[in-house]
Amino acid sequence: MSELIRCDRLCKDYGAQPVLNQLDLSIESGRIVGLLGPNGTGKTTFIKLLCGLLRPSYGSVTIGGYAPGPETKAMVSYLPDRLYFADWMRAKDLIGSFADFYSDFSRERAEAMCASLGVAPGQKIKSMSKGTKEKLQLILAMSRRARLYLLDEPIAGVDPAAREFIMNTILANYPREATMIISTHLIEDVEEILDEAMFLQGGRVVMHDSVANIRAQGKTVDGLFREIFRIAPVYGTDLAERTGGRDAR
Amino acid sequence: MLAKLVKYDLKSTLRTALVFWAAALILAVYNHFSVRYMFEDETFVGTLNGAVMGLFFTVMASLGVVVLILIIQRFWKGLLGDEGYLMFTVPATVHQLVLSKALSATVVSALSALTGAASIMIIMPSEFWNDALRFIRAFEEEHGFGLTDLIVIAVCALICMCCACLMLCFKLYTVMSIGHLARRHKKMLALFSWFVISGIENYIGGRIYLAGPGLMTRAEMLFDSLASSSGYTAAFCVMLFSAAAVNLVVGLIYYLLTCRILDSRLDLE
Repeated sequence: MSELIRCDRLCKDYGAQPVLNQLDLSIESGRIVGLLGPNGTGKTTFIKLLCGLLRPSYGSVTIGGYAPGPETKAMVSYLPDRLYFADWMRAKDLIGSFADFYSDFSRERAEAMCASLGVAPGQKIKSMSKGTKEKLQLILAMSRRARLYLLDEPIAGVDPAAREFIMNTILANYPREATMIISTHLIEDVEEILDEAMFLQGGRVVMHDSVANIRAQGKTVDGLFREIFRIAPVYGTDLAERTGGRDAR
Repeated sequence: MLAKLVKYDLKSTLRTALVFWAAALILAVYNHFSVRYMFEDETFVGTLNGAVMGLFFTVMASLGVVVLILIIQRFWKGLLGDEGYLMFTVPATVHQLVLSKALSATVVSALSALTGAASIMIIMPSEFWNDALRFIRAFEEEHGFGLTDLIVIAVCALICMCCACLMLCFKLYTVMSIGHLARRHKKMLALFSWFVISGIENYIGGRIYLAGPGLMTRAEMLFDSLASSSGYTAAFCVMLFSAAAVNLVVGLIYYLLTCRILDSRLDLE
């Protein structure tokens, strides 16, 4: 398999605050990678750097040999963690615009997914529920034959049944030769489909390994996540008093 | 890709502008038939005609404000807001994104100006146009300046207006991009930047005016010499195209500045 993403000493600061710090990594084609870490560890920033929404403060990132720009945007399908629609549009307007913008977009696939996910193409986006809007955004991202899919928290804020539904939709519609990066902290729901897990902490990759290797050590990705990011609870004085000074744990 | 981006933006702006254009034209047609009775008839119908005429002028005034709001909103929301997550991930350069916004805004502005002009022309009673045409023909026979010349000058004026609109768009985009650099109070910084940049513009304009003594006199001399050698139409067109060129040069500076800011400092958070 060929290398698709390469980061060399990639740094991103917001003012004086470093968010990503000296990231060196390589991701091959055809992999499903879990970008894992608690909130505020730089997952979204990393994804934004990959899709060209941010510029690195230092270092470099390339996708298919290109720095983020029109060439990489043509091969990256991005599902952001927020809704980007103009409210006046209808689903069919957006499908039309995507068909215009992306040569790898399949209108037929989008319409078929709309039918199976219960999104009415003629409905105004303004009148859609938040869940339907999220479905539509997912449809648009997955109707492309991209080389790289960047899914930022695709299952955050939805109930467990819907999570399974969304994951199935993603899996059923992505080309096997493409790479998919899924950013999430709901690891249990994505663990089964991951080929690799990448743990981010403090803007650094603290671990990047194949899921097969993790399992070979007798661990699960979720278990490893809890191990790496375990936070000791802080107990207030009133609890210490109530427990008579004993260890509250 | 530029054409596709312009198409996307036009879809957004036209749906608002079309309402005002349709309202202006419909009211103009009504006023065309009612204008001759407006001041003679003191009945309810006369009052209604007066009110419709008032409404027409309100729509015309609103049209300018609406176009300005559309220019600002399509950039602020369409590129710097959540919609930017879509626009900045399509396979286009920042230059194409900025240019598409400005071109669609210019198209809407030009069409609004044409609608406004057409509405006023529609209101005028047919007797007015007969008199006007008679006057123009008589003037042409005497001075050699007729309807064709007026149309040519109007087209040049429209082109000049489009260049001025492009410059205004790029200036607005620059101040909004500067405002967006702030973590908080983005709109305040954008407004402040507007005043600072306008101040700089006025200062530089003043320096240029003072550096070339008699600049206006020279322009007048140029106009006169062109008018005597090639006629008034050519003289007017040269003057209008000169103004358009100045706007384009200033606009180009703002355009490059906007692209530079968005390219290197973009942060949609």
